[in-house]
Amino acid sequence: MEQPRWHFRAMKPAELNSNPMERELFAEEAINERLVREAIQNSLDAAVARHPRNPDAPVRVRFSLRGVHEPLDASRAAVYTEEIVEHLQECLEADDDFLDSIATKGLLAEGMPYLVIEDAGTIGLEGNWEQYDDSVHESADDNHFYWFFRNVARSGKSGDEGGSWGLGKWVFPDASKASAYIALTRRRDGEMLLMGQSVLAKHTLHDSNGEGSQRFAPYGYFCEMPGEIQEPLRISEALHEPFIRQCIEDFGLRYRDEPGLSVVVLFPRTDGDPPLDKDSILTAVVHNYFYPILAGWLQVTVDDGGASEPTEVTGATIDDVVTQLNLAGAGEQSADSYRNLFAMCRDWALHPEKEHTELSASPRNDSSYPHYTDITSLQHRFEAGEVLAFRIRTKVQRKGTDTEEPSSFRLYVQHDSSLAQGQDYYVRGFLSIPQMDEIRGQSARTFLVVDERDRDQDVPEPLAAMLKDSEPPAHTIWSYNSDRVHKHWRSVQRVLSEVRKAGNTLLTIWNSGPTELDKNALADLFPSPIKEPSRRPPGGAGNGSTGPEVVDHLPSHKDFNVTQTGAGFRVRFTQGAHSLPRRVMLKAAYEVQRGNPLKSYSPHDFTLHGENALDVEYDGCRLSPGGSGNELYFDIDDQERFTVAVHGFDPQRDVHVKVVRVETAQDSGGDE
Amino acid sequence: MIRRFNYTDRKRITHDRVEIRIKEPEGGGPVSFAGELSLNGLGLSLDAPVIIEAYRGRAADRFRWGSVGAPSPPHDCRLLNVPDNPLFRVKVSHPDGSGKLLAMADHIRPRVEGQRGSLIALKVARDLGKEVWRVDFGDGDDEPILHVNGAIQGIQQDVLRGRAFRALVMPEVLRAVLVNVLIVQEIDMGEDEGQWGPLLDFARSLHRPLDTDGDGPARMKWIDEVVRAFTQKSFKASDLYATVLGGR
Repeated sequence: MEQPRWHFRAMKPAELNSNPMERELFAEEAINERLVREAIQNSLDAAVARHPRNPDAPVRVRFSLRGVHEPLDASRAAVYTEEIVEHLQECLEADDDFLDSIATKGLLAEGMPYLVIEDAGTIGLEGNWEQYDDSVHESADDNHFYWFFRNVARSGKSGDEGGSWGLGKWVFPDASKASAYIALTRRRDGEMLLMGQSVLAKHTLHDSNGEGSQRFAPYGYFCEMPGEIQEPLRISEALHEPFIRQCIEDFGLRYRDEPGLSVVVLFPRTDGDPPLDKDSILTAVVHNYFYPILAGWLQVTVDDGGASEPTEVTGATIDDVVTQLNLAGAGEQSADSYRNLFAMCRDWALHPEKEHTELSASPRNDSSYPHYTDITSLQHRFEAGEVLAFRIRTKVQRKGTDTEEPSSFRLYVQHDSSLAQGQDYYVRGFLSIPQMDEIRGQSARTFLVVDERDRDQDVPEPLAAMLKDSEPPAHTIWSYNSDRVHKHWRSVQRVLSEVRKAGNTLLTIWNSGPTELDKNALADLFPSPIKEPSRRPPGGAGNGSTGPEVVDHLPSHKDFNVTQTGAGFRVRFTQGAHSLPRRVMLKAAYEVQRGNPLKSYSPHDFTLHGENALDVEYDGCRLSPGGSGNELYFDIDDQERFTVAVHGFDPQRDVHVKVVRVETAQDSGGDE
Repeated sequence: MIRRFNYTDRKRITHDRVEIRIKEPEGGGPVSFAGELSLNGLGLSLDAPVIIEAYRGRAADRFRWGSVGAPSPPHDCRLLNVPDNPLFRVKVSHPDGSGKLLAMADHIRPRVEGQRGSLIALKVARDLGKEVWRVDFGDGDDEPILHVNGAIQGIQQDVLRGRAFRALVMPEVLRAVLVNVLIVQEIDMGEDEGQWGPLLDFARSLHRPLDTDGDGPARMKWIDEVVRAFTQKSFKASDLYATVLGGR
């Protein structure tokens, strides 16, 4: 057997120089958060492939820091670092303390510290290890080895699984000062495979005599390489078995008598900020995975070697764990906040079979919302601090389809007057979405759950798939701006807004009281008659139009005909009118923008009688001045000749004219 | 009869040429609006500037809307300076910059997207003292808003769903509104295009309009008939009240 060693691929002249960019995609999260988050996500996804989530067979994940306190001695460690150091030195930054240490003391002067992350209750990296491509003709759907070792930014994960970008595995080299890890997997058929990977940068090595050089690709493998493909060590190969057994012993692997994956991070970054230590790992476990732990789907052990007793995080111990951790402050990640959240989960969120208030659409603070009354009627229960549970229906639509798919999410809300700021938690499937912050200035906590599968029909929830597409590679937020979600789904803004704002809307209804002004609340009693706008042909807006010019059309009146004459008007009886009045009142005023112009009349505007009156001509009647300067009465002598004409208004202003019949003693029927 | 004359040849833009839609923001904050104008066939100069104004009382927000031939709505159509429930007007002015109005539409009631509009808005007020409700007309001739006393627990729910409350109060709300419009403001009974056109349309749909404009007593009598028809149609209020009493 050839001794396994680190192989970096020599690049050909035509190849593009390119460095891995994964670090940029996870840079916002602290190292403990991203390592724990992605490592456990991979384990939980591997369990999905095995069976539905099952509290009777939880996924077990173990973080061991024993190798940080007791590094592997140099003689043993040399086996695992064969031919990496020269590549590593080329790629480390000049000011990197690790480079300085290698240069001055050598890589293994103080042995090799390591961090172990291993899981059980999963299926391990199954699949044909020789496969190096996937296509229609050669599917790699179930080849977990292939996706783990031979792909970057490509994923074979399905809709039920938490990850999807194919980038999460980068956290293993990320946690290593040497950007290197070794993985040992056991599969359900008993086969065990060992291979390592290093993610450096494009680099060039020079001959010792300085005469020649060779470029190398960033990705290196710890493996055998008898041909053109990296070959893992297999326990089924007699020559490999001793190496694998020794590896299990060297790194103290505990779970490899059953299927699963063990990852050994070489030279872990334990001295960063925050340090990668027991407390920071436990904090990240609670932060990111409280929900599957409470559900019994996941158990996590953090082993500090001899430094302290291992800590087991299970549904039964998680309250004690947060008590022991140094979780200061009063924010969402304080011990008190977590304990209250855990109680909400145990009482409600972990029991979707309990009766939830059903909302057929996401809540709106609007009386026309169909469940508005139902929600307001819950106010006293909310104010009493009761946990209120909702199942909220929504619809999503994939691009390229004609139909919307029904889906739903669950929301739990609880008033807590001790909270100065609202506390909101979000989970998709088993994964916390930690950067969501929609509840501010509200004394309440909310917990929103998007299930991966519909509980009643056991089919995938399309909402979960849509939200997953809205997440960045670190899966930390449901983002409106993800290209991927807009590429695959319709109505992204609406659906994301409905989900993200549902809790805040409920709290606004209860805390702020009813909406101050509701323009539509009384539409059932006083409906505004909606006149549809006319659909006139577009364009041709101006002079070139062919339609008739629109001016003030006069409503016909059975008694009077009032027409414009220059800067004035003329009043006559309508031709053919019957029962004409004996007396007529005329009032005029300049038009005003608001209110009744006749009430806004001022003698300073004009007068129809008296000094400086406008020119009033009349025929067939007798004129009497009214009580105000804009009012005239006419007693009719000859209905056919009856004419009144008024001139002299300000041509820059509009004139409002009112003409009505006035009842006299001689009139019959009492009509005006 | 009422006639209005303008001597400047200003065109009237009828309401069917204007569509204003109010858009409620998803996360709260000021509402915005979208407008659609159809100004063809009015004989207006293509380069005449167009303005849309939102107003209530004496507050107004003004938006430059490009020109007749090249409408150009602004990017930001949020209503920041007008109280809730504004009306809108559209103005087209002379392109020579003199400000002379060439055409105008006024008293345009906006639609709220996805919702049916109401002639009377509802407001939960905090300043009603011991009053249960009151109809507010702003400066006297603004759109009516029914104020209900927010200090009374559950009153909004009762306004929306309480049969007895609605049967007893809503007819009086309608009466108060019609009295303000027809008696206090003395708006013409036949008004159909102006600010109160929709309300009077609604009232006329309940009871046959007067043959003439009518004086105060005649209008009061007509209002009584409208309210009677409204009550009969919507509530049968006396039956309801009897049921409530009988349930005690």
